[in-house]
Amino acid sequence: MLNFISPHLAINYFLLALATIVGALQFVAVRHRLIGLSLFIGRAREPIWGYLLAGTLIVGAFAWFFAATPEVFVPGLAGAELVLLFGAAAICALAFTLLVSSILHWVQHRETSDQKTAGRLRHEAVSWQQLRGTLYLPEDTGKPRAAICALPSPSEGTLSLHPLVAALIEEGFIVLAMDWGPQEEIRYPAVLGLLPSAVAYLTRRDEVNPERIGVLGVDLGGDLAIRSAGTDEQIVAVLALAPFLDRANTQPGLSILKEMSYLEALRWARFRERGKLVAELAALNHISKLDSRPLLLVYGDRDGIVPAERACATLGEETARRRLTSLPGENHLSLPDSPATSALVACWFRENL
Amino acid sequence: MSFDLQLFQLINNLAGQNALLDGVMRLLVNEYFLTTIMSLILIIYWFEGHDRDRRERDQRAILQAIIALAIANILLKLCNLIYFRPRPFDSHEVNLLFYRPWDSSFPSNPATVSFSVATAVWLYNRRLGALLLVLATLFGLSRIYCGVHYPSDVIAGALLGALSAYLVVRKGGFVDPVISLIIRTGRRLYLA
Repeated sequence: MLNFISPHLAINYFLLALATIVGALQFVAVRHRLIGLSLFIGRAREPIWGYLLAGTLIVGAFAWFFAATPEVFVPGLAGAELVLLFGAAAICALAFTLLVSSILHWVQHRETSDQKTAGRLRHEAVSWQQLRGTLYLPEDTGKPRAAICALPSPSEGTLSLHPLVAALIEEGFIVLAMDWGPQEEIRYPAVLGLLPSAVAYLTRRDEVNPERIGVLGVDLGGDLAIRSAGTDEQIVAVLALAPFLDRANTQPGLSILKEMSYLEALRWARFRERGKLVAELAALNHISKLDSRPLLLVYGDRDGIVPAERACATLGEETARRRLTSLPGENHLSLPDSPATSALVACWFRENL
Repeated sequence: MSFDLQLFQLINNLAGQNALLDGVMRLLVNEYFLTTIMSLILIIYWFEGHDRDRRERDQRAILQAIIALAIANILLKLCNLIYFRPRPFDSHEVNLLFYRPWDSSFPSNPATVSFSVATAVWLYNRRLGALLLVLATLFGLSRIYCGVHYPSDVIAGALLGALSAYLVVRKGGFVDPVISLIIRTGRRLYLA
């Protein structure tokens, strides 16, 4: 039977455990850059502040406990009671940290989303057969131009491609940002029709040079880009940003908290078809079908979903036409937004398309 | 006089001679400080691995440490049922810096618990295990310093804890399915 002896001691021990566990979680958040556990946002997320908060919470909680709990030196809680209180405190501390971190992350993310819509590019909506998307056009020079079909991550909209589209437009490319449609309708093999219809649409446009069509895919869009290019000779260059390549990469576990808050991770998990689609698209098996057409895979070196080193091991040996690059300081979700990625993508398509 | 008692007196006679050392030992001897510190280390260790395979190995070590702790406790209760040893302060004059526990002195409960956890982690991770073993040793030493355990109680507790950890880690294939299930569930919840 449990006997807490002194309610005051039990409550104080629970509070001690709660505060110190929150402190330990902050230490972990800073050490492993787990934004899903971090109670800091913006500039305050710098390591020194995180370590300071963690240290203050742990040392402060112990100092308070021993100062405020004279029962520490009289017969008190036994092992079972201690384990129960510590366990309850651990659950509460974890729930508190994940929830508050999610709220803080949402507040910060909302601000950056507002900024993202600020820049506008010349575009027109596309709705042709099963194809839905947005066509971005550079200044008209009267001669046909190279075009790029861009596939975002199904978890993000075409808006997430804006920085990349802007960089490609500046290089004079025509960009068709494709819309996956509702997540619950994304099914294999229906998805295989997406890129061929986009290519067919582009070849019908007078502004497009049909012999210079490339494809750019982000996340699962990268897997589909590789798979579709493997079977479509009209696509002459493929660039994939952080494709999964392997079904195991769709189950990142704890590492996903490097990318997003816990509530976002739960929302990310709701797209249950992701793993199945990666397996069915089998992008890795289709890389060899690209023959001499150039392929570039780009990962962030802090990717919490598909670590660059694992992707590198999965891909195997690189060749002159099949390369993998990892960008320093970028993770899975930040990759399409990064100026370094935009510059790399624009430069690579300029050289290969 | 037995060697056990001589060693006890050698350590316990240090009590009361240095206020700072007494303060440190009073901090270490209670059930709240070192146990919480060791638990916090395990929480940090849970998240430590940089990749999935390494993390799974670390988390396996933690879960085995918890199972070892539970088994050590069961063995400890069995020992207590069979044999009751009075505390040092019951039969000798000691420098007592702690309250008077009423349960059996042999084997030391704190030593059993802390060594079971420390040894289980040590079998996976030598550096972290060594740190935990130092903390476990300090825990046991403080119990002697403060007059609530004989050295043999602490040594027996340490051996009992280490034995439980060894059995779970090296011979405990039967717990593997449970551990794998916990890690898989944790991974699905993005917590492992």
